[in-house]
Amino acid sequence: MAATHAAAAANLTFSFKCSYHPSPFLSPKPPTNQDFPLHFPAKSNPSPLRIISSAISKPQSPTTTTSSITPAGTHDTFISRFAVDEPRKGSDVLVEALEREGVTTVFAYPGGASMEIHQALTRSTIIRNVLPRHEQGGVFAAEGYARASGRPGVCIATSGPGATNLVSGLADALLDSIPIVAITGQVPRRMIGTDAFQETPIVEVTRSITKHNYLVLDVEDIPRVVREAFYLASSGRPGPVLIDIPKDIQQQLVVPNWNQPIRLPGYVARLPKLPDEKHLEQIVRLVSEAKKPVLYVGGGCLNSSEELRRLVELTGIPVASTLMGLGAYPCNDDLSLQMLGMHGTVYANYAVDKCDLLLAFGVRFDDRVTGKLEAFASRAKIVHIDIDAAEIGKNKQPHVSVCADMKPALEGMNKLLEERGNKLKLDFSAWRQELQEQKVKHPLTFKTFGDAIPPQYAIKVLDELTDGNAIISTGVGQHQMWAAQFYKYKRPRQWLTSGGLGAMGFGLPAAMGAVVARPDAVVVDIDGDGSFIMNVQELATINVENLPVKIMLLNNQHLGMVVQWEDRFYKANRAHTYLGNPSKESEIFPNMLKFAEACGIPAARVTKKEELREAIQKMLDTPGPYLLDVIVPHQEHVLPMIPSGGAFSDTINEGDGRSQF
Amino acid sequence: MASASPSSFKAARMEQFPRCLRRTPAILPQKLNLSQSQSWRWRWNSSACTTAARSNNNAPHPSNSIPVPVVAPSRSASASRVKRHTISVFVGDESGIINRIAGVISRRGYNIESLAVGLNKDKALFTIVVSGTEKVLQQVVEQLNKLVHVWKVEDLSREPQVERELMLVKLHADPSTRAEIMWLVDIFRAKTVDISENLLTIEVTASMRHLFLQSLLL
Repeated sequence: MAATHAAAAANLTFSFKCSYHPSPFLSPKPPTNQDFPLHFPAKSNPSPLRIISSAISKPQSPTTTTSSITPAGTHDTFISRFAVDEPRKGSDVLVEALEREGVTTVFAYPGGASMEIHQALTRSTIIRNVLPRHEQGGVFAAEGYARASGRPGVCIATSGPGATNLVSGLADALLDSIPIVAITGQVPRRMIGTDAFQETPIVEVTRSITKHNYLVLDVEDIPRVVREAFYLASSGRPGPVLIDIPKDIQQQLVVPNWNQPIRLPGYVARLPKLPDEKHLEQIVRLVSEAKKPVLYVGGGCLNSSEELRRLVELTGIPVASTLMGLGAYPCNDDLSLQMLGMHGTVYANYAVDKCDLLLAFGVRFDDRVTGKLEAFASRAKIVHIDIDAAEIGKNKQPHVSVCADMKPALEGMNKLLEERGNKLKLDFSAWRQELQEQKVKHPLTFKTFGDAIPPQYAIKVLDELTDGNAIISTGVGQHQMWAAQFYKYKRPRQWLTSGGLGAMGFGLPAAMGAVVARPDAVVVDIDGDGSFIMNVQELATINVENLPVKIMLLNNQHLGMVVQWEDRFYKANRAHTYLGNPSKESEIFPNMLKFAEACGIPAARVTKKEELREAIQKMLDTPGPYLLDVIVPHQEHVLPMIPSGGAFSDTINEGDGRSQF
Repeated sequence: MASASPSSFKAARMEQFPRCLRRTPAILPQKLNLSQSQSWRWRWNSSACTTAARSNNNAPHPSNSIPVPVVAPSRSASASRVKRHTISVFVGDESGIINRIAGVISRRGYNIESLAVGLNKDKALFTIVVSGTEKVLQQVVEQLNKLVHVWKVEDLSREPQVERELMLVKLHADPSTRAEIMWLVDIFRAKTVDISENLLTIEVTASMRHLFLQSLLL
């Protein structure tokens, strides 16, 4: 058979070759199944628990991780469990289609309408199911898997309530551009629209919160639909795709045709092309003319961390990162200004406010970053590179914009800079000096009161003890902001958090997914008591599946972020933000250690600052899952803070719950 | 009214939302504007030219980014003026595509004024009228482009167009008034398409503002 890539290209109805313009400064790559393969760290696939019968599937995994998302190789050399013309059930076809896409783990919760799929999964020797205890836990776990590895995460749920429980996860994946394929069962075709038992029109419900969705009405479509779903989830701007499969189709016998081409001509034709060299030259020229440039990087740069580092090395431009982009550039580096935005560092916001050139790479000018749009980077020329054309000019009109993938754009810019670096003589040392003064004047600080544990200190100690190499997942709230500020991320895909949607309960299931994706890494879930209890049922999963998730729970008995806003803007009027037991306020309620004990997980509580380091070390040393309950005061506020709709001049850098406002 | 003065056409056209449009029982307005629109554009020259110039000067279209003179973008008054834009969307057919397209536009908070769909075997052409500023229109076009089954999105309001509106009017017409009605129908070059004992159905095709007939009849 012809070269796998060429065969894959020939499979598409619209040839890629005409839309692929190899630029002179890039060595031409063979056209792959998609234009922009995701690159991830060279961690290997987790080995599935079951014994792999076909030796072929193992070597395919490295191909998956390094070249393309839809491994053309698997399609040609895949060895099926079934004979070529043996009829099998639709659910078996679905599972085999997943295997062909290189899926090794799914997060599936069974139900009446998806039972057939689970039966088929038991017959698969390649795919392992990690059983969550709530479908929301399953979809957040699929997200954690996708965020930590870069490959699409797969979750399966049944019809009706199972499908509607996926909604939060799908909305989160869409807002943060995470590749997920969600498969839901559906009632039989003849019962659709009759208000049948456990029927919900999930395709209608999730239409605006998924990148695309499918209702399969013909069993012959399953191979094509699955292939299209994976392609859509991971190409262009990644996003969630939902496939709804009625039960009678899952049960119908069919001989599948694996060679159906995907039918997405408009989408494929509109995928962003390689950036034009003229535009990159213009950007380089702007850089050379600027005196105070700043790099504003976000989630779009997570796959091009190497190129970003090279760019900063060549130019010496300081880097401010959004919440989603943390880790794209190492936070412990001198040139890193860490996070910017509502709870970003003073020096990062200062830099953006005073800069004269803002290089916005892979960002969408979210309102948490910009605050008042007119005042954001008001003195700067704005250069915006993004893979999604709709984001360019949506919030802030750029002066120069390029719609392209960050990796080739950065490669092109680096090449230009290497060619002309000597002539350009970029020197921003005065600007860097100015920012260094700001760093010294307004560092990230916290106060200590007696022997109470400052939550920021707990995260700092964790950073030291894990050497900044752990994968951190968080819930939402104050602990999330402190985890973003005080932990120094060195690499992309270390930081897993619900950014755009801000879904509480994200931490524990996402950590589960991350452990499955990267079994050799240390995974710590920094959670708050509010967020933790929203998906506490997943403690059962991490014990049973033996997923070594370390949970560091910053327990202040309150809904911290809301309490902070109440203190600042509502005269400390507590409106349903106390999560403890009002009749016994001196006791810690609920006793999280008992939750852990109920699920057979070792746990400990620490209340004094002196005992903290040892407790965290014990948590990291104990093999398997562990829960550490860290009691922290609730009067702490996340600082600095720019109130929503505010400008840099409105930055608040003092005060906490102990003072009056 | 063929004999009406050109200025009344312009006056009608200058109204953003003519009342006759709202009362129209039009079934599927096919909007194709004649060269009137070109002359209209010349009369409105200053604001129209600024709009065209501004859209060339900025870099709103990243896919064809012309190297841009580095100037801070200025928002002229015309850019923030609410106008009616006609968008044509060519899609590959899929069940629920109408829902998808309507959903994309309304999810962003923009209003669809009218929607017309022409279906072929497996393709469909939507003609949508959205009211909003230039920025709103830009966003609508970009969001529609993100839909997977959309093949092409075009903003028709920029091109010279021919626009027609078809109106079918069902009138109560007993023999006493019938003669007068048919005389009016003649004047407007409308057509009588159906007659029954006390009902009369009339068909009028005209460019949009040409619907004084309705107000006369009713």
